[in-house]
Amino acid sequence: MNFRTLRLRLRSLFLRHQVESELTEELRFHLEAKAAELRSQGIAPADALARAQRDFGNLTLLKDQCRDRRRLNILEALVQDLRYSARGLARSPGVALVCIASLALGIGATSALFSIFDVALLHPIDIPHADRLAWFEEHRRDGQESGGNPKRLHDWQTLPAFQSVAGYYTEAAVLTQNGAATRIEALRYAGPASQVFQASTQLGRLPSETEAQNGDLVVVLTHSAWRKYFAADPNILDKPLRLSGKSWTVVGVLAPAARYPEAVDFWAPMPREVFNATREAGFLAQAARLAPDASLQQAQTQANVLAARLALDHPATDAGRSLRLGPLAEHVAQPARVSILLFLAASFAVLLIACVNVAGLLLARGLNRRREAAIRVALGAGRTRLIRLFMAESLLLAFAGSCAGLLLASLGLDALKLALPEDTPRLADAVIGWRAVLFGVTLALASAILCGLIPAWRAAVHASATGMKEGGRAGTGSSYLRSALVIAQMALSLTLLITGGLLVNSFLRMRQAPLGFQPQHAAGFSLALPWDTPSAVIDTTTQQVLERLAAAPGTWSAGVVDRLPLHGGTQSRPILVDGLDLAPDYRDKEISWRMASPGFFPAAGIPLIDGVLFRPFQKDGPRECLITQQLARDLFPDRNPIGQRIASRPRHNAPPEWFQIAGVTGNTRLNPADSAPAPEVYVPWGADYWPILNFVVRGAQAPSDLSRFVDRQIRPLLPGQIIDPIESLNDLTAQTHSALRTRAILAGTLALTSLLLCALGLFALLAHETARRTREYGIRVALGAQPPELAAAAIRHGLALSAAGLALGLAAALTVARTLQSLLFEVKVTDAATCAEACLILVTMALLASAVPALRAARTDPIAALRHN
Amino acid sequence: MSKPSDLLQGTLDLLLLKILALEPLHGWAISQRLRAVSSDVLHVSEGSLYPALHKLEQDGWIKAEWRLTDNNRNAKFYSLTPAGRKALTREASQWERLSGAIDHVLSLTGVPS
Repeated sequence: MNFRTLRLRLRSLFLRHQVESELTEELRFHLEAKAAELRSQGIAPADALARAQRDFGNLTLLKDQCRDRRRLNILEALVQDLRYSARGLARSPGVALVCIASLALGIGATSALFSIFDVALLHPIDIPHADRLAWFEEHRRDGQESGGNPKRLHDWQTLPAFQSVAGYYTEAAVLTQNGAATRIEALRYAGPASQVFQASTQLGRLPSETEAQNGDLVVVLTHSAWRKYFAADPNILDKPLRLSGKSWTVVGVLAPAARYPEAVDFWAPMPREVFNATREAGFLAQAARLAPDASLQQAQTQANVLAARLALDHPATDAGRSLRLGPLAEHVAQPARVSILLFLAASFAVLLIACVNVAGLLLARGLNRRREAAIRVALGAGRTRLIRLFMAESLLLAFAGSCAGLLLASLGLDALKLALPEDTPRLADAVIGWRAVLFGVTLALASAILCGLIPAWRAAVHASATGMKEGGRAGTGSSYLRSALVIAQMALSLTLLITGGLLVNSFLRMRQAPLGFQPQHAAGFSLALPWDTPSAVIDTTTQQVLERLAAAPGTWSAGVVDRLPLHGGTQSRPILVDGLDLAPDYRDKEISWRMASPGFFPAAGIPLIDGVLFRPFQKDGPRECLITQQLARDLFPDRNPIGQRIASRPRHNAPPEWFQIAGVTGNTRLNPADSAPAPEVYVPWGADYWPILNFVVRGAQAPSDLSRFVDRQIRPLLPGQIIDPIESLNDLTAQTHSALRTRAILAGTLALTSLLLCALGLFALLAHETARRTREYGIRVALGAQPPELAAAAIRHGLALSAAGLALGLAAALTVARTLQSLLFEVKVTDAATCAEACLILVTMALLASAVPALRAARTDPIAALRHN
Repeated sequence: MSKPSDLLQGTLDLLLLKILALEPLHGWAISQRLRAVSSDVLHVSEGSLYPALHKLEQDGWIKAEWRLTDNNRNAKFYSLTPAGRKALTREASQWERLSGAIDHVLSLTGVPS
């Protein structure tokens, strides 16, 4: 295209009016010249112009052809169509608003979830060649999953299918800078972790092999921690660092590209002691990078062979153990997979329902515009041109919807993230970026086609087929199509209602499930001492803090425990009972083995069911313990548990350390998602080594008063230690429920949105139907039909549609819900009550949606109706 | 697509280029000229002339300017551009080749051996 033609095109585009008037002028000149010629041949002036025009042909068509030759018609027609549609929509703002709002909800929810799906499931590990990473899942003899072990890690490292294998765990450390303490997260690794995770340094170097073997206290900071805690100090290298009470040396800073493992502030080789662990212990996470030409299957085959050999070499510890390999990305994405897929599917369903609604509304508009379409056809509009005109409307709606939707998505993204499990990978990286926008726009295009094509096609076909014959009255054909659409909508909506109902019911059950402790009037805080704190120091610290807490004004009781209720278990081990053969299911079962001071039970409000509390631990005193009601029932169904002796099964052949059962406590839940209470043993605080202290205080004082007291009286005892903020157990309990609550709210909102959209769809269909049949109703009333009969017809129609929707929806819901079980609490996916409730809600909605059209039908005035049209 | 009746596709363009190569003309004059030079054999309906002109202008083969006619009326005069002149030579020689070939075929009296 040369300059001249470009100029012409731009001129036709931007100086449209001028070009247009020139065209008119040019053609008029021709007509006048022709008329003048005819006049000169003796034809009357009045006839001359008419004849000139007749000879000339269809002026409008001709102009259109000229515009066509200027190759602007498509663009211009599009602009024109869009303008026309915008004007049309502006005339019925209600319909437009409903369409845009429902599309915005659908597109917004879907785009927001897509942005999370994109990072968390598609790219959960943000480092190069993440697809070559394998995750290790070890299984013990009893089939239970177990962590890795430094000795076996060494064995796995010999497999040729791996380029590098690393073992690691994360731990909290306390960073002390200028007297202030900050808790930071450490990655402790063994083996070539930097090769596995493709981490290189930006400053300095990685810890050397020798340093790792000597257990030197050297760290390499992650890039984010370097910037966050050290203001990107370029002279950080070789500076001493106070970490958990020891002096460390910074040897390097990782490059920003070293982004996995996430949420870690520094890397340090594992301490030497860890390598002394027996082959029984299992506490390492293990990952490997595959050798360039090796596949995961090859690695698995090699691992199977090696596991069989290890079982022979170490029969006591390794017999029956196995290693299962899988992609690391899959493992990382696992915790969030079901939630994300569920919500993505649900938001797609809402979008689909919205599209169906818009399609239904456009279909109705299309019927009302049949006369217009027929006129357009009569004036020479082609079928494509007509389809384009009708499509412009849905395009406009979809794009307005996608803009509003993307706005919604960026506003709601943070709230959405709360509904996902905390360990969802890369949650912070999920933003409404260009990928999400692209996705949203694609959705808008797809929905425009989905909503617009059928109505446009029908309008075009009808217009050219039937023309103006029917006098503009809407026909019946498309009401079958609309009925089908409404049924599909209801089926989708029921699926969402059931899914949402299951999640909401799960949340309600979880909130009502007995906690086993009394959160009112109780507050707690946590103090994590470094893992190498000597036992004596832990004991005196505990003692001092407990004494001061007990002396605080308002305190009724205070105690310490290894982990707060609902915050998970700590240690677990198989048990022995003196003089009793355990039932087979208890022989290898890991029983939660917890430590608490006697004051913990009254402080947390855990009732003593039987016997007495144990006395505080004394090295040479009698060993006492408490067991929970659940364990008492399981172990001693036929005898009094008090006075029985229980022990954790010793490793090797050491004699068991018996604890005499002093009492039985009520059950508590270890995790919010545990449905059955776990059997537990409580031993007195100090019986085992455990440096993480969780204090619980029950009293009349407000948590804020307690907090001030702790600041004044307890913090000075523990310089350089981090005391977590004090929170009431009520708040802590609510927090543990929060993910499920947010999830329930989100699912409920999506379900209700779909219900609302569905009601709207049904209402629009029935209202339109009633309006269309006004004349028929008028005749029927005139012939003696009673108003209730007419109303019943509309309601029957609504119910018939919802019955079909229910049948389809139930089938779909049962298929979909099966994947949800892991998200549910004490609720089966086939929960009849939930399904029944959902059906009831949908039918009520259908009745309500049919009520107004039914009333309108019943009130048909025969005179007015027959005058209609 | 314009359908100039009884005209081979593309020939209308050639005719218009040729007519305008002689002198700049407005639409009405072109239609008069067409009728005259082709002695009514090549019937071009008056209407279909304009889309063709607009296309040629858009392609950059002819250009338009508003000028006064002899009767002092403002009219749109079309004239050939250098590109149009080249196009005319090209199209004309192509036409000659084509018509020559067709003449040859039509003049065949027997199957050549």
